[in-house]
Amino acid sequence: MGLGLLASRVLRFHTNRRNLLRTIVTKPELQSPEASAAAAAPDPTPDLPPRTPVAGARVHFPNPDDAIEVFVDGYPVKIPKGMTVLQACEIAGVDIPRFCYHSRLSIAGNCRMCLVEVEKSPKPVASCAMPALPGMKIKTDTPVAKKAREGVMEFLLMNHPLDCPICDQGGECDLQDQSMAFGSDRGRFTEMKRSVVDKNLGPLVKTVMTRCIQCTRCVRFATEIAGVQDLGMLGRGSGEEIGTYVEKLMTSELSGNVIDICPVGALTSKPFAFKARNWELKGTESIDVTDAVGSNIRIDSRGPEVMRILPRLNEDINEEWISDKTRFFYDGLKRQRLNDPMIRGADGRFKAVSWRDALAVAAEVLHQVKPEEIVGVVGKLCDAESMMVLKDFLNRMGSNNVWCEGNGPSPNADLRSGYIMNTSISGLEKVDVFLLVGTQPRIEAAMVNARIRKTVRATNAKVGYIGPPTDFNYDCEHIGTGPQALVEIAEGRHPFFSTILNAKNPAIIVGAGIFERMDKDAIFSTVETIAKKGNVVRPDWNGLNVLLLNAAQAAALDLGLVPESSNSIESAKFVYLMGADDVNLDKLPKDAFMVYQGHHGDRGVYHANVILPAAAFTEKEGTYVNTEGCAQQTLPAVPTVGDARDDWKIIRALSEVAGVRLPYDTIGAVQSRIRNVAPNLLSVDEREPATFGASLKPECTQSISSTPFKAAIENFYMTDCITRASKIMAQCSAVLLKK
Amino acid sequence: MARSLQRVWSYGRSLGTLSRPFSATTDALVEAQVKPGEIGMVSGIPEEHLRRRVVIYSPARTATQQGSGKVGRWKINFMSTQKWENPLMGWTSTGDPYANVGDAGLSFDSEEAAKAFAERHGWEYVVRKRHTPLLKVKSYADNFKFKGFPKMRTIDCISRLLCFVVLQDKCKIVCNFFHCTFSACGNSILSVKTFVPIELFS
Ligand code: SF4
Ligand code: FES
Repeated sequence: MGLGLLASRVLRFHTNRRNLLRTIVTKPELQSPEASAAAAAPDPTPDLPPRTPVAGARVHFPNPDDAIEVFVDGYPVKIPKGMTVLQACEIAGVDIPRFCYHSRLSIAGNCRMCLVEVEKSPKPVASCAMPALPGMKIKTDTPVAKKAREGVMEFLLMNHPLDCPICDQGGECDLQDQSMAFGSDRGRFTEMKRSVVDKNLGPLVKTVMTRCIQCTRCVRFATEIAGVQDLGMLGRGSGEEIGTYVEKLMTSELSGNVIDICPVGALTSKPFAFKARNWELKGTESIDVTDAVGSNIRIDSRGPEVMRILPRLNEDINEEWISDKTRFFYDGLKRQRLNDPMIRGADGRFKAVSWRDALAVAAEVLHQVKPEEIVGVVGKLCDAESMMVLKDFLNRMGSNNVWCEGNGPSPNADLRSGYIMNTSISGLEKVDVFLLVGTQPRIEAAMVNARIRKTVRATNAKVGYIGPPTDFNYDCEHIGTGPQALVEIAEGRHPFFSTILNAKNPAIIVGAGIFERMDKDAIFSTVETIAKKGNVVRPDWNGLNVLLLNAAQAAALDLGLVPESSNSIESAKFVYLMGADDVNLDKLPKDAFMVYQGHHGDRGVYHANVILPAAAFTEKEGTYVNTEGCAQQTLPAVPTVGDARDDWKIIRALSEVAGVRLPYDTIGAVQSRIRNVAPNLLSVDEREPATFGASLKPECTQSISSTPFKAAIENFYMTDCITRASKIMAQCSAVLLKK
Repeated sequence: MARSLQRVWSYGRSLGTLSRPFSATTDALVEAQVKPGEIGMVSGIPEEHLRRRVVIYSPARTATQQGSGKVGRWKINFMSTQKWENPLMGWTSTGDPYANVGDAGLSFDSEEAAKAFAERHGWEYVVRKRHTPLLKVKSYADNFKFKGFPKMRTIDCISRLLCFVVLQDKCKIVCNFFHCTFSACGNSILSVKTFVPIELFS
């Protein structure tokens, strides 16, 4: 039952009793719930329509025998033992009003908004904290429950400012919603409202602390999910304040989520402050490309502009959270954009030209070079469709040197289990021993790190880490900094090996930063030795994982974007950069011709001769595969900037100008081409596990070097061309990382 | 436009909950005769809009709100991005008649209804999977469960110093001064560790 329905019920309730006297004292029926219940429900089997759980929720039964039955408004529901009354109501399809309860945080039970009536209980009970007992008769819609909630609401509104018209939460505020159902039209409070000094939580979260209703959701989020002890509650009674104890910024990569969970407007988004009202925004359900996790997001746009980004529920990937980079990098989409095709003139300056001219120049040069001198590099943010088209195009030109940046000089694309997260992100919750090799998940994939932290918190799982010293927000044993430690474990000389051996579901997570190392094959074979000896890969469990860095990596490997020779860039005469900004071009001959196709004027355009403007991920439809091998699609939310076009269309047009017309005219046709190469990319929202294990790999002859592992990402807030163009991200890295 | 679409939709719909003056049988007859794309053609919609690609999806709950009244509906996204800012007033203009239809005008009870609607208009559609939450057992008592020893931290607050005594499989807070009396616990002491359990004070 939605709040709207609740409100209408309340209205109906009022009209029914319009002719009765309105008094403040309780009535006999309020005093004895049993009697009124007996009067209200004489029929033991009420004729109720079947109800579905709130928001279509699925129920996890840890043990099917432990189901109990309770009655919610007379409707019987089966629930697992130990669930709370509130959860039972949810399963029965009744949405209980709440402020402090959040399904992903611990239960605080301090707002009392969730009061319901339980038969034989003398007082209304706080449903979020009360365990449901077999045969309990819960009533959510009685005068007692309503009156109790009205009382709570009156107390909450006593100190809440009346600034909804200037509050960014207005229109999507739980307090606003619920006061429509339970608020009074007048107050009885004649004293002064309290006011609270605003706190400075950094460049992302704006605080208006007078609005806070002390639900402590933000405190619980910070301690439990983000793993930082930054927020807390100070004072008692009406002196209660949320704060950081001392003047301190909130230093977490997940801090933006407190904006969402705050039920009122006390914590709102600083970059979004006073920019738009939320009812003007159009939401487009899309996915995030700033890291390899592929968090599900909703892009809120107004007209041609992205106004904000919010998380979207996906239990398998990001639950309900997103990282700060995902949430706040959108302002980079408005800066440094390439909006016209450009050619570098003889004086070294770019001149805007028409598409026809730009493509003609590129095609002409393309025909003058030898096929093996053509090289294509795909950037971090590219979608599978454009990668497919680029590969097909360069293949038709006779070159097979296409790869994706970040995948290293000689990527292994043959065995899918060798580059995806085989355990799956949600599967990490079953792990009891983690071994992180050369990866810092907190920086590389904040949502994966949140999962690991969740597991560590819930089950006290052990974590071992090999790599440069770094910050963890859970207990972690630092085993060593280089491959030497790995060898020690593989040979069983390190005590952590016995920890792996004794674990039920051990997981090894290897960072994709290792792809760039020369001894990568040797490191992977050492990891596989550990996996074999430690029983990490079994028929029912695959604990051998690779944590990728970029959104494009997995799809590129699925499509087989592997360079023919690992040093093709040294002899290249024609380089096609499709959004590639971080590829190392030091060895490129000075006379090489470079085409840059992309949406931002970033590192890639410095040496480019021709610039072809393309669409960013918010402006196109594209398939991305995340680090666990789940294909997902972005949807266009806003129009492209200037004269930019979709990536695949540009290459399709170029192929025609170059005389090797590619046979696809629609994105559907490109997708059917992809179906031939990697059909898993088209099963959207489905995770396709790898079929073959690592045991099929040939023997490795490399030897391990002793160079310690490097951090794969220097600056969490600036990893690609959009985040580097973002002012908010620049502020974050200046203030929070002091870079 | 949106209203006419909705009208078309509700006429074409079989029995349903809407009680129409027609008898149920006539309605069903109409239903049987509609071929894919036909409704679109007879309602005078321009040719180019009869061959659109649309996405059928069920909007997720807004992350900032807990209420689920709007969750579970199905919507059609027309992937319309032909928008620009009007230079005179800065308002948004669009060249697509369907630009606001999907968001504001159309809403379906079920995936099937949305699919049927798209079929009748001859649109090429894809359906996005709906993500639903997973309810797991939670209890208030978890707050007081023993979750292992608090994280060891450097001692930064002497007066808050707690002393934990690790007994056989048990842990007890003995007292909150460093000079605690271990004799209070009868079991043999295996090891003594000092902690500042930050969690206990926040
Ligand atoms: S700031 Fe918001 S989330 Fe935090 S306690 Fe106050 S109302 Fe709750
Ligand atoms: S939701 Fe139950 S007390 Fe706050």
